Amino acid sequence: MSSTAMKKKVLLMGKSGSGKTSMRSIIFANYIARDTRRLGATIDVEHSHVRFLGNLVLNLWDCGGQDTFMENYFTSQRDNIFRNVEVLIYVFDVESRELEKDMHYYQSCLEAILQNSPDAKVFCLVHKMDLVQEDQRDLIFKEREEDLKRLSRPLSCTCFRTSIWDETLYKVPCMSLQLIPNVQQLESNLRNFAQIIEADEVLLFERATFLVISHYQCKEQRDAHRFEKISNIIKQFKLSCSKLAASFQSMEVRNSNFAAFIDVFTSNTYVMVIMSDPSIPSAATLINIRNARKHFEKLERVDGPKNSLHMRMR
Amino acid sequence: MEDDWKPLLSSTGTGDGCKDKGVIDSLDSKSKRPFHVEPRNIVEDDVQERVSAEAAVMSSRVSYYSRLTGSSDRLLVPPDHVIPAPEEIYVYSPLGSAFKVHGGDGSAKNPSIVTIFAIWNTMMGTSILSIPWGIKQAGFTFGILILVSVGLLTLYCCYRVLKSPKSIPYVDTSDWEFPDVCKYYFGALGQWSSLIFSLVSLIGAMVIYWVLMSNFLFNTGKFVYNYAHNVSMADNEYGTNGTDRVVCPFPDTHRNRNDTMYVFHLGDNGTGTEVFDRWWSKTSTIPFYLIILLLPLLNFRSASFFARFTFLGTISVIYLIFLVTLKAFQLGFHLEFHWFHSTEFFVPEFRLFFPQLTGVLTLAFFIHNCIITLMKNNRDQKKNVRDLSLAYLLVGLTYLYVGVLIYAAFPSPPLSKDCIEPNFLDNFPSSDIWVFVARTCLFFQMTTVYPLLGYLVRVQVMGQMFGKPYPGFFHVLLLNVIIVAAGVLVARFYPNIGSIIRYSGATCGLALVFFLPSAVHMVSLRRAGELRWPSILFHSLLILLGVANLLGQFLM
Repeated sequence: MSSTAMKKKVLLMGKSGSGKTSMRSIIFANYIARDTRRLGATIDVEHSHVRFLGNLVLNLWDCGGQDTFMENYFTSQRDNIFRNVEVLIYVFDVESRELEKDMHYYQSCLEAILQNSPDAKVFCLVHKMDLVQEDQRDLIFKEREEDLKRLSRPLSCTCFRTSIWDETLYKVPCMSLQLIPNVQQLESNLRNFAQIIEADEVLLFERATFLVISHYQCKEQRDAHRFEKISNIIKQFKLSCSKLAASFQSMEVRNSNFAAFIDVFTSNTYVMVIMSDPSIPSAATLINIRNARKHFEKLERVDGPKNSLHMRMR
Repeated sequence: MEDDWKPLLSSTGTGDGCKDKGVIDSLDSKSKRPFHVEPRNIVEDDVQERVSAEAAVMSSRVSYYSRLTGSSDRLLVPPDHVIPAPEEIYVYSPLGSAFKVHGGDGSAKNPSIVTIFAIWNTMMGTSILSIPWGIKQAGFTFGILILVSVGLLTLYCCYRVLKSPKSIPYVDTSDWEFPDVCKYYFGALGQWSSLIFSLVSLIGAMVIYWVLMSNFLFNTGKFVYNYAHNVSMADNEYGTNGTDRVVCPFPDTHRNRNDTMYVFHLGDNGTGTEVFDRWWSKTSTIPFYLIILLLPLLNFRSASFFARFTFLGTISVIYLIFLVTLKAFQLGFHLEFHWFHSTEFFVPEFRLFFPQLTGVLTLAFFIHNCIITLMKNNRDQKKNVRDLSLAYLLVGLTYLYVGVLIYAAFPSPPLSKDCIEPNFLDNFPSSDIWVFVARTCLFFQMTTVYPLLGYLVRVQVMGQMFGKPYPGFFHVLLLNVIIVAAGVLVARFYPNIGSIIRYSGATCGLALVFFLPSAVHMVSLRRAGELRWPSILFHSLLILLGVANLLGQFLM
């Protein structure tokens, strides 16, 4: 069913140089080829075809580019671009000196959304916040948020402040989106699963971005940043794999104190299981994971025709 | 790359992987990079936190981002403000030890108070001795007003100099000084003009030093001689009576525009000091004796030895402040306010000779040629403007204190205020012990600063002409001989430090204080497209003030 459903778009838009390509590269572990950047505006206009959450396609667009080619293409293809949009993410550079122009382009995107995909969710990212002094960040972000909310009416937008140099980028884009429709159910199932196999911690990752969808831990962990670190490590590994046209499927890490397993789980997720009892043989845990897989697949498909791709704001 | 998202063919993957293992190693040079294990990841009961959570996650981020671009691509390189400060960075050696990075630019940063003190110390020059005279030339009230206004104006111009490297885009200006900025905006003309005018101030200072050193050495020698031979000089100088004597060295000529050579009148009671006086004369012989002392010092290759003695300058200024307070206490206040007319003993509050004060003050508040270097090592760079303003405030208060007190305490019923000398220490006889100490202190301080100034001149002149600060012994000797000759000639024929200070101050001030900072600021605004009429008006006015300042020296 999922393969025939129409591909829904996630539009990532913003002025040229606002950080979209970097963001996408970091979140999806895409190697940024130098040529793309040297040509200035993002030229992969049409279909970057980064698929995630099973059936969503991420499209990157430079809004307000200096290039006349870009402008014309944008205007003539406008309806095409804005049709079937599930989510619009608009990126604002906090350091931009042309606030009015930025708002103007944003509003024209909103108009197009209203015409073509009125049900789309709108997210605004105030990006490059690391360039603002720490004591002024809240203030500046609140100002922008108010302006954007006001400009976005009748659509409602949600604003986030991000920077690729702190944890805000990792936490924002999908954390707030309910990736799987029944997250609570998923969490309780995860807890049961963990308790049955006697795991210390179980994590569920989204497949493309390795963002943690849901997790269970049986006791307090020291490192609050461990999710981002794991995500970075695995994405680095995937990059190495992809250089050889190999794909990453599973990993087992073991020492005298613990054993960790990362494996494909459902069609949209990976799982990571951490066992602190090293005496339990790997095979046992792997069998458990395999069996649990079927159960969780069923959970995902439970939502029927909307087909696990419906995204809801948490 | 998007093959990742297709369903996985797990069985075929592993087979190929093993075969290509050798290929993996050689292709991925990054696999040979050293790794680091955070202590927290080792499961133990007691873990010492050697790495902070933020640093650990930043390290993970940086290592991941560096894989996303080519090694020469700077797109995802962490900017300076997100990585830890150099003091917090350790380098791990494979043998297990770690040591701190001591970068070349990790020089010790000074707290604000040290920077403020350094600026105060550098600005406090010998012009402090001329402030009472300057106030007298401008009139008491007018003098105070001018001191405050010139202080504020020069502070603003100094602020402009400090900010000038920051507004240069695309270039790393971290080790630029103001002449480099001038060169950027105005080409060779800007560089040379800022250099030449900077030299004017330096050489002017060296000439003043020679005159003053002759003066102090003379008075010191005279004091010692008179004390040893029990000679009393009371009758030979026109001044007040009593123990706290104040003298008027040129009672007939103080109103005269032409400052003639000082002629020593022997008293009728010939005290047999003719021989001494012939060989120990302020203008005829001592300037030459100083050559023996100072010319060798000037030829030292490095001036770092003399830089250790900057504390002498601080002590001298503090002692001067104490001396001034003491004299004011002893003499009491003698002030009468006559607004526009001069009387026998007092001068008007507003006088037409005020340009002389502005000339002196331009040199007194001059630090524009080295302010960037001085503030570079300030720990909190965001507080630079505040620290600069505080330093100027302190300097202004010091000058004001000394000037006002000497002027007010000058005993006016017997002597006229017009008697105040350009070097206010000249108003005290050589027998005054407090002033004797001041003269000695200042003499020693000047002998240590004079070679420093000579070194600065040498570096700038030789650097521009030959490319290196010490091209050869004879080049340097020649330069030093020229500078010393200038000092000797001026001390011999025109030892009026008031005039020297105001002319050199107004000249170098025109370029380095008024013209160049304003012009640089206006050009940078124009290039950024932000030049507005009020700004043009204000800065052009500043330039005109500088020109008027210089012209006023000649006219008044």
